[in-house]
Amino acid sequence: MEAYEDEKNLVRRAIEGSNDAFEELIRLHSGKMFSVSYGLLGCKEDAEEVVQDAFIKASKKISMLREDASFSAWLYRIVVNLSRNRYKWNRSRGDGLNISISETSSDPDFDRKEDLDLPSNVPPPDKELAMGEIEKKIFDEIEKLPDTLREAVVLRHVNDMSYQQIADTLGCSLEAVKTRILRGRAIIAGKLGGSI
Amino acid sequence: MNVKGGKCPLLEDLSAYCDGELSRSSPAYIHIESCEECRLKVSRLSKISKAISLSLSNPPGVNCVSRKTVEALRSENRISATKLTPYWEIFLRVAAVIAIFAGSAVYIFDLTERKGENKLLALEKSEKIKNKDLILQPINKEKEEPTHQIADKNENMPHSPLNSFEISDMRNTGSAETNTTSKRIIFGAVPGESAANINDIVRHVWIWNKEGLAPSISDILKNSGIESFQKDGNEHVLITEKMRLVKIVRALHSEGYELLSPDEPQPESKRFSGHPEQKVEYHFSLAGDGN
Repeated sequence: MEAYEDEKNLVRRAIEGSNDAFEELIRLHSGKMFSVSYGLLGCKEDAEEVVQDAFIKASKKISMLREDASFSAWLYRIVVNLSRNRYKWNRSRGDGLNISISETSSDPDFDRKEDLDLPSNVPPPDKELAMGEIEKKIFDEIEKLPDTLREAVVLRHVNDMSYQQIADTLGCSLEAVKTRILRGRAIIAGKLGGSI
Repeated sequence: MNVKGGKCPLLEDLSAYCDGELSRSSPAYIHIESCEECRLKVSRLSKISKAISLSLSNPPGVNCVSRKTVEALRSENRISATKLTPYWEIFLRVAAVIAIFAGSAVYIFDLTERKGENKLLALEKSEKIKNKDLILQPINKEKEEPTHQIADKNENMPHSPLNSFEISDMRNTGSAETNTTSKRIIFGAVPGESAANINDIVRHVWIWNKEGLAPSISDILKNSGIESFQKDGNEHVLITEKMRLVKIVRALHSEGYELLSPDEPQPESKRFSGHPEQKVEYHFSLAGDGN
């Protein structure tokens, strides 16, 4: 609660034009925003640029932020939107390996949830020797997820966002968030050799 | 074991259970707590969930992001000169609109008086200028060319998927001094617009080397870590944020190109005077509404 009050105070000062306050907000939030953008884009340089652009944009528009609104939630939306734009831009240049939702849903195995079994061959995450490769493999598979699934999975796993926060950030329903997170996990599990 | 809460819930509920997003009073939660089969699935889902979290944790470079972002913001603020209050911004925007209309009126009057054209024709020309909003200029013109000729030249230029602004008005356009050692790029704007407005509005800048004689801009961009791509034989750079434009301008500047504010007068010495074979045209096209 105290941290929240501190942030509110910083936001108020930033709205009043304090550069120091805004830079403090950057220090508080840039790491989290970078992690989200990196998870969505899979590229450090792109993620850095998105975060910089997001804060620059936020600094210009912060006067429009309602007093009762959450600065971080607002910032997440900016970062997700900018990351989306960057992702589409990268994909338009042929960099993307993205697949569409329709491709996923046409997968006959995907719809048969009742038949889905969790993979038995996924090593427990505490086995560090194997995890380097597993992590990379999982990260690669996250990048290949359809846009909507990738966004939900990344927001959930990067900062432990609640389903409601994810729904607010992505502008979708709570049920949609539940489904997207499950589907994302199911696809990744399937790519790891097993299937959910 | 006695299983409570009816039949096994959907996988979505198991996944939500893993994330602590299932209400303890819900039938699904009560069922999972007492169902071996569901708890086994939950256990597997938890492993996947933890593995995904691990793969996304500690991205490379996360420790420098804060510093780099603060530096970028400070740089941005310097470029924007002084940070104006919203009230001053509103005032200046209104003033800019008035100036555009005043400029258009003067232009109409000037055309009518000096060239003897009828007022209807003058008004049509003025409207064309207004509709173009902001005009960024081609450079390195060997000689002044009439407006309509320049517009015709641009017919084959690639267009932004967004609403792009074609180069059309040459009255306030940039020209360039070209010789063997340096080139100069001048951004132009209609009367009343300022460099700050260009920065506010610009979203896409497309660069292409029409004559194929210029030093490779793609190499300059590549060496500066700026992504560009080839389309229709031309070089394109997408500007998503102002910082991207700033980076490009800096990169070009370091290679002998220079960005001039449209507010600056264009001295005769900066006009193109090179050999015809050195004639090069770069076209910077603006697109998007700046939101």
